[in-house]
Amino acid sequence: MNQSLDALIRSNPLLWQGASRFEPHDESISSGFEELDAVLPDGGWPTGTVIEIMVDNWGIGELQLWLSLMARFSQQDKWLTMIAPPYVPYAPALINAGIQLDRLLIIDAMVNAQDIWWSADKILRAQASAMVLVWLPKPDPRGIRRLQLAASAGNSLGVFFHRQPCTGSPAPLRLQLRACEQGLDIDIIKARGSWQRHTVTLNIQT
Amino acid sequence: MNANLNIAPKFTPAEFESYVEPAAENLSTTEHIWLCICFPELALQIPAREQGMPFAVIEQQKNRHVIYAACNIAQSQGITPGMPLNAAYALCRNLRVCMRDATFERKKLEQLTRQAAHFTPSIALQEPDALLMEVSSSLKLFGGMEKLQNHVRDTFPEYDFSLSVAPTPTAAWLLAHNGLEKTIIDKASLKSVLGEIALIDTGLSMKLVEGLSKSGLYTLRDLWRLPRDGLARRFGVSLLEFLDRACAIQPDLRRVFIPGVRFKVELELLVHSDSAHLLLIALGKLLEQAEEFLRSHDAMTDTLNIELWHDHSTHTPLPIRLQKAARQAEHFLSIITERLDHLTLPHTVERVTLRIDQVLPYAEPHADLFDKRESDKQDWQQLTELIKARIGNEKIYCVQTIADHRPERAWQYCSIGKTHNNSNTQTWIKTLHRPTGLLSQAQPIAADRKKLKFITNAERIEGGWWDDNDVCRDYYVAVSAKGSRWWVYRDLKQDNRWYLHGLFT
Repeated sequence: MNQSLDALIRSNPLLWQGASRFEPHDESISSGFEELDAVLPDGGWPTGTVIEIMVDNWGIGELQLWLSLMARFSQQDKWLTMIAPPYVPYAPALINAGIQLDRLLIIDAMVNAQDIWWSADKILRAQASAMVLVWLPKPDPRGIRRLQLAASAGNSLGVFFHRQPCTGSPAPLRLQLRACEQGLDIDIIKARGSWQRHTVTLNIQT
Repeated sequence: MNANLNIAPKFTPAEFESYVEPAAENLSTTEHIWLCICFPELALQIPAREQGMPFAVIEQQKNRHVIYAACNIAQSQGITPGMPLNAAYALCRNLRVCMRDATFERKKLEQLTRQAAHFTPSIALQEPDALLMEVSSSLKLFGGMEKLQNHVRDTFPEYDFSLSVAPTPTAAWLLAHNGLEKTIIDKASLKSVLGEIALIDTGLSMKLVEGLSKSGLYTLRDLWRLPRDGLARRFGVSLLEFLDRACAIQPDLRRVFIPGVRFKVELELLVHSDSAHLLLIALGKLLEQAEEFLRSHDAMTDTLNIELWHDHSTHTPLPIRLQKAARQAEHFLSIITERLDHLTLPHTVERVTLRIDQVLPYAEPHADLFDKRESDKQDWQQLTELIKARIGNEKIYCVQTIADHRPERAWQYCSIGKTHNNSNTQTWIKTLHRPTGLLSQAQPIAADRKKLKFITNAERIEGGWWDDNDVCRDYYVAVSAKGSRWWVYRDLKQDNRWYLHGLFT
């Protein structure tokens, strides 16, 4: 029994192994929200990894979560990339959030979904890029796995937004966002190094 | 002598010495030696020419055609340059003629500079048909004047030419142009050698030559016998200057011709194929040659012209333009790989050509051992180029703000690295509440309107008559039924209807 379980763990990379194989991260980046940092296992966003953000519909404040981090990265002269955003990233609002627009690269939605995965992979591997935000038309565990490897190779942060439920996603951190009266409800569905399922409500002024 | 000494401070010491003591000057390396090669038949080297037939090139002169140059066969029948065309036809019925093409001659001459560049880097063009080469510094390398001349003669086996050497370019050209193959090193003997040249063959204007001949002056020697001041008064200073330049009394400066650097290679494919893999192998070979060429010229390029030939007449062009010039074959190849993936070829390819028309001087990327930023920047540029090559130039960009109160006009696309930071605009924007996502086209929301919960008061945005895009809208932030924060407006100018314009994402 144990042997076959071991074999299964070894052969299937999609199988999440929880805390048993968890090595604590050396580094993490503050999310800019104290309540959120308190419940994240590393005390902030992990680096060199991908984070999956699930929403029911766009416009509930999913980008607000990242603006302060994007501002910090761009001021450190690192590149940010937005791939296939479903709306025009609006320059005046981004300036207001403190983002240096000359460090923000935007790649338009592509006809071929394969190109989205390909460009995200290339940019995550690049040393000059700190963060890649990707709006995925259809989450694919295999693709996410590939990008996870790319992110750890380039020590950059990949953030995926999508609106469809995805089973068996290998992303080490998965968040479900919902709009609420106070602002944003964040449900941490999965976090490497933590068994507990947390829910945080952030007061996001939009 | 006194007058000369007065201006002495303008000379460098070495020049001053050689100036005051002309007797002591030797053939030192600082003295220039000009070698002139004159190709009298250059105009006849037209590719369409029929071999074995009398052939002449004509030019238009005051409403009539005259012979500009004639081949040996035509000349043996009595046809000479300057003869009217109808007179030439009278002498030779089957004469083939062709209009003179000055740009062709110039091109041909420029091609010849390539071979001439083996001997010296200082080459000047003497249009229409001669090359001037400054060879004083090449003598040692080629083992003396005689051996150098032999080398030069062997370089142009397919042309008839005359070659002469003189201390000034004008003198060298005068000798070569008149077929006098002489080597003159000593400035003092210039006058006596050039003296016998007829004025009509000196390249002076016809009007001037006619005027001189009316005074009984036919050769250069005749002019040298005349007093200088009188000659200048009657025939102009420019004639005197021409004579002085020929005899090295006045400096004779020439503009050095710098050939345009071009590169073209082609490769015949052994197997006619449209497989990207085989094409990449072929292109890889060509790109390696290109890199070698660029390295040897200490250059780089931002444009590669690749053509995939399907047969003799049809080809698919594959131009590669880079944001930043490079010369590494590897970098070019990675971009071409992406381009090939998206290219559909109508037929199999039998030949591949690669052309570089323009090169830039190579600039070493600034490499600092402790500063990784610069090399990251290089990598980033190469990466964005790679992405551009795959998904298209227009799909990858940056955005910037513009000072305009209308939301859809307050931003703009811009190419990477060209973002303009307008600090005035930025302070003004800080006072505004704007959504992070804007719809490229505002959407009408007639049905959803009733379910919206408004959370701000109206912000009136109005005006724009000056560019025919007048607006009058009341903007609100509202929460939709599904919890999204919308930026909606009511169009007060046109139809009073409600529109969704942005999302507070």
